[in-house]
Amino acid sequence: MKTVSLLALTAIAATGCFAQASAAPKAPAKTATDSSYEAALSDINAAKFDAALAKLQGLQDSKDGDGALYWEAYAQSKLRQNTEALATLNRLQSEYPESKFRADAEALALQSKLDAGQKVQPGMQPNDDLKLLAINSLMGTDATQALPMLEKVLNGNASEPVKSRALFVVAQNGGSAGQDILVHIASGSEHPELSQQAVRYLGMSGGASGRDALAKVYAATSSNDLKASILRSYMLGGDKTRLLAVAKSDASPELRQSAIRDLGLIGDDTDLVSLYAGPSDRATSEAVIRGLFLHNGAEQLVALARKEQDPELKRSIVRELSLTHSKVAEAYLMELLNQ
Amino acid sequence: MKHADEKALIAHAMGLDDGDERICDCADCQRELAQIQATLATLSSWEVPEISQRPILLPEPKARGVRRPLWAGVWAGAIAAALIAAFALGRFSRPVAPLAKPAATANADPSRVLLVVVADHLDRTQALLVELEHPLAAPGARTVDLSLQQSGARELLASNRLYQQGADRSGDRKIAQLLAGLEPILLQIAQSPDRVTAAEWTKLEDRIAESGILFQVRVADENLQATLRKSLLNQEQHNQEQHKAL
Repeated sequence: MKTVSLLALTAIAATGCFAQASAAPKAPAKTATDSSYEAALSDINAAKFDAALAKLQGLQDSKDGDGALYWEAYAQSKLRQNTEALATLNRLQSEYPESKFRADAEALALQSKLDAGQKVQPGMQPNDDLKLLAINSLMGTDATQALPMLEKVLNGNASEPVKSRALFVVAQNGGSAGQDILVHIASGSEHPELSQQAVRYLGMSGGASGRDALAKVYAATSSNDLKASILRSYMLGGDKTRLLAVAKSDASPELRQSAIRDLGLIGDDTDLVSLYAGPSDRATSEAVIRGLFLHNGAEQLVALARKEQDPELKRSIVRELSLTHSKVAEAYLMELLNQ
Repeated sequence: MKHADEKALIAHAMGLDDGDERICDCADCQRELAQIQATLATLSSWEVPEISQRPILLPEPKARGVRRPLWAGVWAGAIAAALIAAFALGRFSRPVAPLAKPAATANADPSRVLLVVVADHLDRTQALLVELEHPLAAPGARTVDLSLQQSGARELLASNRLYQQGADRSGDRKIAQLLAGLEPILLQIAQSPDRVTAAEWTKLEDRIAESGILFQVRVADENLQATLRKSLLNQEQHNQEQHKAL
């Protein structure tokens, strides 16, 4: 009730704020130029590039002149008029050198050049994001040249989002050399902020070789967080064998239980049952019960319940059974009720 | 008793609903609730997405410009994260339907990286677009603050360009087209001033709503998740077959 009251109070207060904001003086009356610019943007959003170009004509000297030029170039680029787009962007740069569209204009120019089949030099780009776009393009033609550039970005002073995007380029295009980079980063020694992302990519893209590499990282690292990420990659890759190995013998109870849960999520009933230890390892047994529930293992849960003498564990099993939509479970629950 | 919808179940699982409120005790609702609770437990060990960039799926106030308190954003982010994970994990937790024949090479598959990152990108974009509908407006202020949305859009724009290039190269036309449609929207948000008047904000919001991009992103996200799910199931079967062969 407290939460609802808080919500209500906040909503009332906030609505009041908005009422005041709405009561603020209206924006200056719309001019024909404003309307045309707005309409052109709506056309751009609807991919009506010809219509947008028509509306943008004559707006280049208005208060939205730089925007008009940028969107004109954008529409031209989408219509594959790359030469015209580049000319418009040149005009934008010369007439509005301080425009807020400058960085986006550089990105659009790069894209227009690539679309026109021109070669662009990653090293000549004015910022990391454009450099990445250029490297990504180079990846398609010469990965051996592009990969060292990506490594340089990853090892340099670029921001974390830029490095994260660089890692995506490596993962998507890198082949076996790229996989080596991912493994190196996944190990977490030099790039702890990127290691989980690298683990994820290896699990998703690397196939058996990627998971082999992950197993080596798992064995080498002492970080349980990283190990937990690797378990999720095993789970996403459907690697029951490795999950089972962790569930059986990892030194960390938390990781063993994570592996059990992941086995449940990918539906390995038989192995889960084999891990059930009864009251001698209550936490593991509870994890197995949960794992069986997650994969609708009603038959196995009923079988465990019939054998289990520990009242607490039996109660856990029955609780999960009561939540499964299964005739086997219903029959067993009725049996209990009739006892 | 009426069946509980997903939002109510999530709110209940997270203790965000009225404590006196009862959740339907039918097997389906209880199972769904248990799955959400399991997912929340799972989430505690998962990397939590940045709250400012996650979807808000709570019932939203009708009035525009309402200031959402910070804690509500935090809970909304957490719920959104739960929904995303529930969506991903819930599929694993349900009985598995007969599997499709595995792809010829269910092994190394870098194209799956693109699907995964684009799915995540679409989640973030949805969050941004929904947050844009509810910008911060300080008491008595004549303007609304779009700085968070603006910086979020700037980051998304850089990723969007890169992913679009990747989709173009891998020949995934649907993804490439969707990302191409997103680009001008993200750019318009990124280029908007930090603070705008209510009228300017309405204009931006209307233009984006008119484009229907939020709906397109949601549909595409759902399709991508389904594709990923299928791809993972194929891999699971492939692994099982390899295991048997050994």
